[in-house]
Amino acid sequence: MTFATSLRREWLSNPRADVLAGIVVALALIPEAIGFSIIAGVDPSVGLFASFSIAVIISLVGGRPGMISAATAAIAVLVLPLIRDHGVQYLFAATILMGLIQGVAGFLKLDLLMQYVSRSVITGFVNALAILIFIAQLPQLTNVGWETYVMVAAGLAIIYLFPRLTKAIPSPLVAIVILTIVSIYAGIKVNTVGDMGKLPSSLPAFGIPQVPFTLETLRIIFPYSLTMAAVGLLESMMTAQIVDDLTDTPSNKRREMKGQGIANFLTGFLGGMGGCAMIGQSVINVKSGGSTRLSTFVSGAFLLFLIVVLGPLVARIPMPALVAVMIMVSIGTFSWGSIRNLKSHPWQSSVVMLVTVLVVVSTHDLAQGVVAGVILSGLFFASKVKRLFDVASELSADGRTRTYRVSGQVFFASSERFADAFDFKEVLDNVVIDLTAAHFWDISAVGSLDKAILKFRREGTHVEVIGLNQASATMVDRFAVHDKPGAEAALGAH
Amino acid sequence: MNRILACIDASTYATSVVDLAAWAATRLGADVELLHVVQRKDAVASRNDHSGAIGLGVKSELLEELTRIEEAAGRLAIEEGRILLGRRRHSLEGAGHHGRVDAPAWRDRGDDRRA
Repeated sequence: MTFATSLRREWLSNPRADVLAGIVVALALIPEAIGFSIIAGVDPSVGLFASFSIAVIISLVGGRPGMISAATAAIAVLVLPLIRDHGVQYLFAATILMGLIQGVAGFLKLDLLMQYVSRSVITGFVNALAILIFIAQLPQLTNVGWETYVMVAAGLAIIYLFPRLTKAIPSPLVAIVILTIVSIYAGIKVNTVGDMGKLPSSLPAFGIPQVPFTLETLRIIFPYSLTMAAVGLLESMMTAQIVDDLTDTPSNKRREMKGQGIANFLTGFLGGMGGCAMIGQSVINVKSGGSTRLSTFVSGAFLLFLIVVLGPLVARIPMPALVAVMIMVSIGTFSWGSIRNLKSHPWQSSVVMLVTVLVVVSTHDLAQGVVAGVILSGLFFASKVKRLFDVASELSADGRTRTYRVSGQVFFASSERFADAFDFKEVLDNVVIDLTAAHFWDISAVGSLDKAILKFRREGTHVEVIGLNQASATMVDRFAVHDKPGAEAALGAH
Repeated sequence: MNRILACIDASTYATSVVDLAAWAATRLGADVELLHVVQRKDAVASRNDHSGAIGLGVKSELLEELTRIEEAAGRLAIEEGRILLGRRRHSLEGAGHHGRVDAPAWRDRGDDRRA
């Protein structure tokens, strides 16, 4: 694709819709960036700068036009202990390292690993993310006066009812403006954004994190960077898939991985926290008509404009208004269809989904949840496939030869059943093992065939293996020992 | 074998394109192939919803709605394309051109990537 066609297609295919969508997203990014900063325990400026920087950089270097990346809840919940124990400078250093790891992952083509993440795991990830966003709002909802609850309820009512009046302006913005005005004029005593920490008073500046450049520092930040990189890439790949589906256009996942790396690497130097693609914001973007890089770019650029120009006003936004917006994001992220599907889907899928959710909610680490889900879905798959296996046998007319016919999949999970299928007590001259309809997948399968052959030989029975198909033959040729010298000694060690 | 590819759309230029193709085909003794590319409707940019509110089942609802819009627009575009090609084919034959007149349909999905 030439530069001109990609410029037209990825930036300027529909500028008006993209600019408007970008503005809608920027307005929705403010409460999220502030909210996620509070989750991570840093000043709102850290999340706001990160959201600006990541959105703008990813619009240039990302692989999925129309996807929104910024500071996210998934990363924010991970870094809380790092900031608590070591301070915010270590967060910037960890973000830079996170970017490096993601870049390397892109070059190692790790996007291919996404093939092993099943749909149930993705659903579990999305639901867990929604729950994490909701849980993060709880500190703002406990030990507070009734005014807070009324304002949150009013905020949610405005967000969901205002679109019936007009869809021309974003209803979360309307909720924030109305609640801010009411709280200032009525003098309602609730927390404001200004109470939560420092807001940006200037443009972000390029600077090297003030941490000692020692192995000790690396030892502290590396585990965080690795998890941040993994979680960031997972959410980005899943969000890219959602945007692919919504817009019915393809994306370059590997470029997106590298782009996420570049964005986080540079954001660390700008005093921002790490981020990744955002499911909720990307859906808002597509819903508002955004589908190109332009809308992502506008969302970041307009966000910076807003925080620099409106900084003093942003400080007066009451926290309940932000909580209402974040609850909306949580609801919009949750896959409600998955609750209905619990009954209709196979129980294994439901278990994988629920385990993913449970592990994430208990560890606050989306990567661990996904690993648990992937392992579990692998086990369930193996246990399903091992049923595709059968052994039948028949005795020859003279009673001296038995033919075993093996069909189906023989691998680690079914190799025990394979070994049990033979009757070694039967007195026979010859045994024929017919593998024409069988597939040998791994060395466990080969090993159990070897064992069976050796056992028959020890009984004085001659064994003939026929019909190993091409795939199985390769496996047997490479690994089996029964036809090589010293076979019995080698197997005896098991 | 020579073949002349005449690319047409709904614009008025199509008339001269087809006329010239017919002329050239007669002089060269070639076939004329008519090509009309069905444009993809981009439903994302055509929705005017800037409410920014996302609620229960927003992803599946949005996907449903976008699919519905594009499905209707796509059917219309295919039908229009057929009529367009049929009319031009008719005028080609009317101009006394009896070479082979093909009428293939091509879909631009906006995602053709060249390696």
